[in-house]
Amino acid sequence: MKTILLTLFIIISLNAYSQKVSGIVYDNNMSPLPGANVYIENTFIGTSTDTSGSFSFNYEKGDSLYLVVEYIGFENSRNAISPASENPFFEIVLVEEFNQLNAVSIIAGNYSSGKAHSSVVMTSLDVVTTAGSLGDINAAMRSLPGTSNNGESGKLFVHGGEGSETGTYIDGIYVHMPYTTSAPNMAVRGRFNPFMFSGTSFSTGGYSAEFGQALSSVLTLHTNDMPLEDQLDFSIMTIGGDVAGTKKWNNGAITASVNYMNLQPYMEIIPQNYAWNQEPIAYGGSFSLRQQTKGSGMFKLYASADRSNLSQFQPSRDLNTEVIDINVENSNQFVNANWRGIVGGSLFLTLGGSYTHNKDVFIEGENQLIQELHGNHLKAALKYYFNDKVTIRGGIENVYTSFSQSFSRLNTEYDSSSTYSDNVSALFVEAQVYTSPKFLINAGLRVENVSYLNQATLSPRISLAYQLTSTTTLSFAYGVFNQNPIPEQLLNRSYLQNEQAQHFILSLEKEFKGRILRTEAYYKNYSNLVKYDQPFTNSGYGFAYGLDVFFKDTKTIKNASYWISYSFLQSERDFRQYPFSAKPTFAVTHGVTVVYKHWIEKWRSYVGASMRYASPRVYNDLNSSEFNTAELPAYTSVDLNWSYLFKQNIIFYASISNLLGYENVYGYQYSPEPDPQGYYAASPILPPAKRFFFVGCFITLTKKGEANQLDKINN
Amino acid sequence: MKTSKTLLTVFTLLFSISLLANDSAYTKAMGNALTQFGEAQTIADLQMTANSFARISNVTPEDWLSPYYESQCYVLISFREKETAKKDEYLDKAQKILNPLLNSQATNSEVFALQSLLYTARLTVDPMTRGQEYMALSSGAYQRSLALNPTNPRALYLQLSNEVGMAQFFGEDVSRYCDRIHELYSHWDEFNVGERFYPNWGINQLEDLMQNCPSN
Repeated sequence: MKTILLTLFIIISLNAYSQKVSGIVYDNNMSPLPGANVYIENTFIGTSTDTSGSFSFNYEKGDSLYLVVEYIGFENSRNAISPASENPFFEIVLVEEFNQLNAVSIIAGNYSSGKAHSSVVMTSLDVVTTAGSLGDINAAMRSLPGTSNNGESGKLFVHGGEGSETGTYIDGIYVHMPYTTSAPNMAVRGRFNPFMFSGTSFSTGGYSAEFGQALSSVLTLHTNDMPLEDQLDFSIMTIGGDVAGTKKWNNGAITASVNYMNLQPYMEIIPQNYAWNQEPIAYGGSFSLRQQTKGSGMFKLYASADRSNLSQFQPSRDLNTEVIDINVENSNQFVNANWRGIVGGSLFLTLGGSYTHNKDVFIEGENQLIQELHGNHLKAALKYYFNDKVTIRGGIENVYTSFSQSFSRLNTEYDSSSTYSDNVSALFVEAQVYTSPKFLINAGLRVENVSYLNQATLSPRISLAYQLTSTTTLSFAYGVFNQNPIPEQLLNRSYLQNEQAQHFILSLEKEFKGRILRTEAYYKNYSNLVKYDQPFTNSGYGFAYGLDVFFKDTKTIKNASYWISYSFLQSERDFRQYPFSAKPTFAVTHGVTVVYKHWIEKWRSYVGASMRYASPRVYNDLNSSEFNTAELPAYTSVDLNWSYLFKQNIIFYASISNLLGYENVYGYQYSPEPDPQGYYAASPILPPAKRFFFVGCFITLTKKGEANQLDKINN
Repeated sequence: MKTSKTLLTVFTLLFSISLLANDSAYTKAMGNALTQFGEAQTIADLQMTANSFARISNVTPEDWLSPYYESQCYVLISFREKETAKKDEYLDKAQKILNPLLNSQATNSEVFALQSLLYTARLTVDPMTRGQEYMALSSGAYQRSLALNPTNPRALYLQLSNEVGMAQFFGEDVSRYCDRIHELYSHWDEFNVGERFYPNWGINQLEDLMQNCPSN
């Protein structure tokens, strides 16, 4: 027994041979770090650094002891404590942890919202509560700089490009028909409900090699992940209503909705600029499925079917007869499905596809035009994380489009129809490398083959970002972009080539405490534009350059946020029927948008206002000898909206577009033949009405009654 | 034979001593850390407390209490931090520590109560834009906590706090919650049972909530 006690005593006294370890912990800038955790590995022994970054504590000497230092946002440090050292002293410098979320990001041409990207300049709520956007994602995007307001179109015109030069993607899958169909010179809307998406990335140029067939811009929409609970949503609006139900289970959910819209009652009350035979009616339904798969995979499916119809009296083409009845019918079916998941280690796979069928029937008096499109997109993309700093992406895809157009004259034999089918097959690869948290380079290459035109194109893309200071980022993007001519030009003209644009974008962003100021200068060079020679050629060309300024402030005014966008654009083109290089009709030299939102807690109201100004656009006055030099009046609109949270699950919403009733003119339509005096009669292209009023009520029912449609108040 | 028996005794004894030593070291460290927690006022105090819990959980990976408290420290830091981005950074840290517990302690009511508190902290960073999402997440978490233990006083407090907050927001009379607040208060000690070092926070917060009620 004595022996045992002796042994124990020896062990204990050996253990108790106490030492003091001390030191100072610094960050990269050699500033002392208070609050760092310092301890001996695998023991309870340790302490935290004090306000001067110093530490000191007692430990017991031993073999292979390690001093570990940890601090939030920094990489751990591990230092051996030599068994020989007496009262050791350490000076430890912690290295900032590399985290892509905190590292610099590409800002050139990139406006993102929601959580999908780090460069958040608009939140999801911003997208739907922007006054004047009326729940249309494209209209909300038009409050960002770089866009031109073209009221007669409703599409996104970016950096001197046309509406058709912007591509829309949902979860990385191409959308053939992103817009609704409308009468000629009547604005279209985005086809998709903004509530479907948790985030939006809007690019004004220089975008990733993942995207092709868009000369100017891409709008990428990220659909919501799993809903949080079962719910039933009702919307009752002055122009219609919809019902959506969501059923959730452990690792999946379905949502089904039906919608009906009819502008007849509204348009009978509010005076309209045009007479209607049939006010716009639209109805449809959609279905979506979300299913988590093994590991952390996610399968998403969205399917919708919609029909719409309108019949409007417009001035006839020749302006001789007073008005002509224009009847427009659209039917659209759309399916988008995708799966993404981890296929081992750091390898992520995305598989997706879409199918679109769209049919438009336009009847203008005696003339009937039918346009029908079948399209699909198949895509597989891989993303591999070599490490925190290096990511390689690559993918293969095929976009199929079949377009047919037939023209006939009622009560006559006349009938002409034509069709084309095209496969755009593409391969893309892209590398994203952080050489440090302050410098990021993203380089990619896209190879496309266009079957109908029998043409292969190569599109290199590169973008860089450099953090000048912790709040200032400089970013540059360059890219070559190729796109098929529009379907109407392609019909029967397989000899044409892709149109091409080159982008150069330089962007500087400064952040100061809840405020962001971004200035972006760009130059864009167009070539191979289609020219309406006989026969058509690709001899058209053009340029656009300009400056975008964006300022967003969520800080200065309590409970309020606002942003100001200014776009300056100079552009000329010689394309289509242009006799020479001239300023295109869709280019806006100076555009200003101010958006303001205020949360009034006492009234539980979210109040928004926006002001939009676009300097005069040119149009071609047939009675003038000069081409595209006549000017329209400037476009101005002041819009208001008000959302009132009545109960936690009931929201009332009201909005007015063009409150002050500015007389906006979007262009002139000329008689094709001059009158005997040689004068071409003209008729202005106007918005459907001077103002637009909207009132709606949104109700959400859940088991708990807590959810509401706060983020969908702007339908 | 005798030698081997002695040896065995020695080893058993040594082993038990070391176990006891380790357990007593844990007890001592937890005791100290919880005292430190009780006295912590500032962000710096809470950071040091979080460090103390981190040192304990590094050595005792099977222990859920030390990471629980470490995570809670970061949630409390986020409430005191002024800068939005840093608030989220602390909450990211809190969530990262809590995540393994959500799996390994999937039937532990306390873990989901803390998750609910964490979601509420996320909400308060930016109520205007995060209100809807995090309100639902927070209530989902306390409901799960209550499903595991219907008398978890912390989950009951979080539920009341959410409901009262909502009612205040909608300008409704909050006195209708007072019966439930008083009831929870009177049963607090009865509900607030658990083993050594078990979470027992919440009574002070409940008293704050009771300020909304006429005293009786």
